[in-house]
Amino acid sequence: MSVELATYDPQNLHLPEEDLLRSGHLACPGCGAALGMRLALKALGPKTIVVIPACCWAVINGPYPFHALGVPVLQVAFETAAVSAAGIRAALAMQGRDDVAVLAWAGDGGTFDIGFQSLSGAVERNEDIIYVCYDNEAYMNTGIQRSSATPFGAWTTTTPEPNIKPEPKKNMVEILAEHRIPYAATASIAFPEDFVRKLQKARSIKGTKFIHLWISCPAGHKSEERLSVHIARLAVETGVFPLYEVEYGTKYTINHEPAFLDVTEYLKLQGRFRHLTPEDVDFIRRSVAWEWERLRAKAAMGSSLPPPPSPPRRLAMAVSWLGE
Amino acid sequence: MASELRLEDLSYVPFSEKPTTAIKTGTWKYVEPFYQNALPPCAAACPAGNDISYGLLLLAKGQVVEAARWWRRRNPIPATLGRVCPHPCENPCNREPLGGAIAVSMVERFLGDVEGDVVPQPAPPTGKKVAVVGSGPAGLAAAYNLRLAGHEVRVFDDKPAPGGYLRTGIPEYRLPRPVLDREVQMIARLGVVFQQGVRVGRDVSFEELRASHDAVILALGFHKSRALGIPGEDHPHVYNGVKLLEQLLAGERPSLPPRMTVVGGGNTAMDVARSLLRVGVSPVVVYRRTRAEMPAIAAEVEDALAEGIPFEFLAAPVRVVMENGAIVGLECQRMQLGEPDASGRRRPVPVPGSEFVVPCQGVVTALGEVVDLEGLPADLGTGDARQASTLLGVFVAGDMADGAGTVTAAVGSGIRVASVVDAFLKSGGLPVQAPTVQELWPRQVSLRRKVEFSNLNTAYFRPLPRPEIHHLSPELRRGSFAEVVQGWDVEAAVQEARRCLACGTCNECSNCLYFCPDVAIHRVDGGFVIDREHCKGCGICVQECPRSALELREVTR
Repeated sequence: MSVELATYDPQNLHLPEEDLLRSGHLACPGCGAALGMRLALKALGPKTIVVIPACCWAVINGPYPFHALGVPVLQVAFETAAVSAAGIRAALAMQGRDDVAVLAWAGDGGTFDIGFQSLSGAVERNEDIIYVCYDNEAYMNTGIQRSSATPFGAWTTTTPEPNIKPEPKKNMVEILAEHRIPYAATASIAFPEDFVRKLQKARSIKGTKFIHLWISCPAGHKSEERLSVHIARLAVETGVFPLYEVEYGTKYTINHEPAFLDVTEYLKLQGRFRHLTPEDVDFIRRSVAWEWERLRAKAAMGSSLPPPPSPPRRLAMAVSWLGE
Repeated sequence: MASELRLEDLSYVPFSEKPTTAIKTGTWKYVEPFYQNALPPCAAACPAGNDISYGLLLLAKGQVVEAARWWRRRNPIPATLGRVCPHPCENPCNREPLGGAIAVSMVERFLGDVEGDVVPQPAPPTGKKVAVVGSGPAGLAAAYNLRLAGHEVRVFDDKPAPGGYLRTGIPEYRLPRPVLDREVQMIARLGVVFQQGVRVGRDVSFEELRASHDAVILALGFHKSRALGIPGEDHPHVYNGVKLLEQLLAGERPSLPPRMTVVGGGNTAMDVARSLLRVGVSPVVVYRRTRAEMPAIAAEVEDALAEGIPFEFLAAPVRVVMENGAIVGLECQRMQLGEPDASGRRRPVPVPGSEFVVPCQGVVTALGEVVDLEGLPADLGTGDARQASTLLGVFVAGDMADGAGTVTAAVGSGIRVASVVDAFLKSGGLPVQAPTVQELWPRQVSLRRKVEFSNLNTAYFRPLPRPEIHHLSPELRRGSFAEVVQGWDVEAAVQEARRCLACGTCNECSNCLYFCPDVAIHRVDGGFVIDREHCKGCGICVQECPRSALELREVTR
């Protein structure tokens, strides 16, 4: 007697088996950026070219003559990830090849701050690239300086106690979405199936695709290495980092309804938040609740809007991002 | 213009092409993960040592026959145990807060009923002979395991058919006889010889038995009832519960009074009361403590109540009330609960002047049983830590050894004594103590590490409700010995096995593999290997294992 079962535990992860990240790379133990790249290449497969500006990954990929990825990588200057990727896309187009994904893979510094103008320019031109910002919420590679991705209250070497960062984190996905690109999304290393699905969806769309990937950084967050995935999950389950996607700047889809655990569950595991007073924590708690109300309002508005007007037919190719 | 750009034309561009696998990042670590299955709480609580989670894992994969064979590796009567065991495994089940404990007994019953190639092959003959006295659960388990070890086993029993108390004391509505017969036949087919109707000490002398065998195991069980010790007890309508049950279960239908009082709160009392109900007698149960202190299996009490059997709690019999030589009632004294006694239960204390009469025409006593050692040496003892008696080569098992009083504990006792006897027959020596049933597992498990709920990564589990277990409606039970609990089909059993969290038991879910930032875990046949040259020792695999099947240890260099 034997019973045929397609999958024997529906709760198991189902991910592509092929790995294009190699062992021996130079990421710190427990690095979320390394895990993120591993998952990204699982999703995109071998027909991918990766563009890496100055960021942790410029180091992780290995010193000359070593190379950690099973796909071609172009290492470029700090502020040029998006335009370099666009250049590669143009070169591929000249060769008549449209089966290769071009992945710009930059940190939060190279995206939120230093690479921002070139990213905005490439996005405005709707360059056909996938841009993933792996966000560890500070310049970790150079020694934990604050970036505009650093959240309120976090310790960094440039926001030491008691002068912790007073500003909130820049909302990068909404800024990119407001460029009206076909696809902008958030993702987390703790939700690998969601991340892989989003990359595969991005690959199927023409135009600029932006994915904001939240990752843990044991060295910079002052957290335990083994908790990297756990903390990333808590960022989502406390509501601090919502998982959602935006199509054409309008249609918001919330991908995961969090358990809304108390934010302290997330904060207490990271030394960078150790100094927070109950007042600070309460501000974070109320901010998370407010951001969620805002996100839900946007999702509701997007679903009630009629589709945008179609462009004149002769221009439809050039502005295809407006959708049909 | 060059038609094609070649790599050597790019010599001025730094170009890396050697894989980083040449960099041995494994030297960075000071702790490292390793796969180590741990003890699930269910198996830790199983007196018979069933390796529950691994059996459920096989079943969850759809490997039904493999799962059934795994279950029968040492336990010869899973179909029986699935029906009669009070399943202590379900109490500590980590699934409890996530939809309810796994219905292990229902799965065990299903696996026990699986036909096919489910019995392991015996080892080559050793030429050693073992006599097992008693064919109850302990005797069956000892015989089965010693036969599988290659010894020649003969079972002696004074009853007409094997099974001991399973046959004479457990009614068919809990254990249909074809189920028991099939499991006994499976043991017999292995080559175990059953000599029924032979009472050691009467039909064959104990010394003769000892002389003709290399080892003797005594597993006589508790069949002799304790007396009530009250006036009027010698009336013919005051019955010994064990004997009455044996008669009823053998199909005899003696003429019984219409209303009878059953005295006791154990399984025998429940079995007697529920059997009487089925032969047309109205029983009432009298017990000196409350429902909470009853030693009977909770489900049996629930079933008795569902069948409408009245209970008189906190009542102790004082005398049998007679009029003109006929019983008209049982006079009882009201009790109240005092301080806890040696068993941990609160001791009943009489309330003075509270006597009252429970009207009835007959009384059945079910006050617990003791061993009947008639015809055996009086100084055998009850066995030491190795279940060895005071005589060399003579061992004890089951209730005789520990008085645990459940079929499951008796099976465990039989398994343990078989291991001791096997060692004795092979080496002539005895171990310091009998191994625990868990120590006899063939699969390598860290027995010192029991998996508690807090050891699980519950992010990977969502609540799934425990399925309903269907009972025959109480109206249909009167006048019928049909099985009360309805069994499951293969689909239901597999679904339930898939609900198991597999605590401490790697089920190859691949979380460790997928979450490794260093791609240092690889799939191999039957599990995973860790690439120690590249593992940096972050421990994410240990943390993200849903079921605590990995551990971290310090690296020794």
